[in-house]
This record gives sequence, C-alpha cells and structure tokens, in this order.
Amino acid sequence: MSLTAAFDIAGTGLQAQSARLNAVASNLANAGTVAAEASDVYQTRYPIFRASVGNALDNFDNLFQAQFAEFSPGGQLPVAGGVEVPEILTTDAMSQRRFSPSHPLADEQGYVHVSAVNVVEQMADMISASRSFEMNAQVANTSKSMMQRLVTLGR
Amino acid sequence: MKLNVIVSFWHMQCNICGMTAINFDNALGIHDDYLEFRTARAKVLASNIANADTPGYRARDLTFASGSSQAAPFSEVLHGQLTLVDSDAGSLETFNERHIPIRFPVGNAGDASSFDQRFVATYRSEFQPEGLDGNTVDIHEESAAFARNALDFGVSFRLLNSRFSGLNKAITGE
Repeated sequence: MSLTAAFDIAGTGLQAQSARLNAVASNLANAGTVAAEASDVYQTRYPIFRASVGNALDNFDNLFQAQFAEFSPGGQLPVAGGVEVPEILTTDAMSQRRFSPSHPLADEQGYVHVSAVNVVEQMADMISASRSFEMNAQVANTSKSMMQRLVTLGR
Repeated sequence: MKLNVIVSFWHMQCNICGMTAINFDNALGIHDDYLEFRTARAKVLASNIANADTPGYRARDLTFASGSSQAAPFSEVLHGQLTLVDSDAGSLETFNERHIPIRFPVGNAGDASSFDQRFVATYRSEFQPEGLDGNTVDIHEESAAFARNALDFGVSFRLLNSRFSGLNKAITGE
C-alpha cells in the first residue's frame, strides 16, 4: 500500500536530516580545534544526499519507471522514492596554519594547524536541517492519521 | 413493501452507476479509485519533501488523468461515469516542455482496464529558477499540496464510507 511507502519515505528524510544534523554538531564541536600535523587536523564533514529507490518501490513505480528513465540522466529513477546518504565527504581544505609558539602542539617553527570549519555555514545548515526534519515529521504524522482513518473504513 | 424499498433503492443505485450487475466495483463508483490515487499522490509528495535538499532532484507530481482540466465534470466523476480524455493520439495534452506525455487507454470507467493507467506523472513546473544544486523542490508548495491531498483523502474516504453504509442499508433492509 502506498501510505506505508509514504511513511518509509518520510523516514528516510528524517534519517538523512539527522545525519546532516550530526555532521553539523560534529563540525561545530570541532570548530577551531588544533592539531600538530596537517594530516591530523579535523576534517569538516559534508553528508551527501541522493534520491533513492530503496524499498519504497512497488508496482506503481514500475509502471512509471520507463517513463522517467529517459528524463533522468542516471536512469531508473522512480516517481517516488526516499532520500539516502550514500557517503559523507570530508575535507580539510581551507585549514590554516596559525602562528602560536606557546601552544603545546606547536611545531619547531611555532605553528599549529587549525580546522577549517565555517561556523556561519554550519549554523545555516543546522537551521535548514531542522526545518526539513520538521517537514518530514509532519508528513509522517499526516500519513499516520490517514492510515488510522483508513482502517476504520466501512464502520 | 420492504422489498419494494430495497428494489427501488437498488434501482437508484443502478441509475447512479449506470450498471445492472451487482458488484463492488459498480457500487463503490470512483471513490475507491480516488482514495487509491490520494494515497499514491501522498507518496509522491512525501518523496518531494524528503528530497527537498537533494542536489539535482526535480519535484514531481501526480495528476489524475480524468480529474484534469479536459476531463469530465466532478458530478460525473462522482457518479462513477468517468469519461477519459478521448485522444486518438492516446496521450495527455502537455503545455510545458517539461511535461511528460503519458499514454493511456481511452474509454470510460466501465471498460478502463486498470486505474493505474489513469495516473499522469509530471515534473512540477518551477516557480523559481532552480538553485545552484539543480533542486526544484519548493518546500512550501509541497507541504501545502500534501496537506490538501490529506484533506482530499478525507473527502474521498467519507464518500466511500457512505457508499458502504448505503450498501449495508440495502442488504439489511433497515
């Protein structure tokens, strides 16, 4: 039945948004952390979202899969599907060397490596994730009441 | 007397459905199909909302071929006398290059083989130019559409329920 699929889809949305929120929390917690080596510096996490087929597929999708295949470059994209986080990219690009000779982790020249977390970007991301989470929760809630209603059919 | 009432009631049903045989399909009219359509659409809209932040995702929607602008007035839909858009070309009119023409069988509710074939899936035409990531989901539009769809679901549910209670009355003769 389609409504259970709507549930699943909203669930994938909740999952993806909380993964994003997790990444934001991790990034913010590590904003400004320092390391002795450039290789040890904190890597900013970026979760990647992708529309997924998942188990939300049913006959209904199969019907339209062919129609949509030519329009989606990757092909095989169903009409309805959830979202997934296939990978979390990390980058230490923009990390800085900061001159701080008194720091215990400073190298011979007196430099430490500071993580390159953009706090403003992360805060914006957090708000966006929180809004999207709310939306998906709302969808799950509405789907729930629709289903509850459906089981009373004929009474 | 009671029998008369039942028979006349049944005749009324027959007039509504335009059928003579007794089966669920005729008795329930379009409402079960409509309910199914609403659940299917809920799924598509949920998918749009879940993918509101997915790069490259294009918002999509379902329309009911018979419920589209060219289709029968709602009164006919209500009485289960659907006239599908008559097109020898067999595809729905598209008025935007992004629309996906979908072919469907031509006929009426009596002989349309599958309800599934009356769905029309389209990409949503955007109000705002897509962002850098190519995502075309407008979260406000989607949430409004989802809420509306849930309301429509309630309407279809009610109508279907009243069909059932009508049948029940006819069976029990009360």
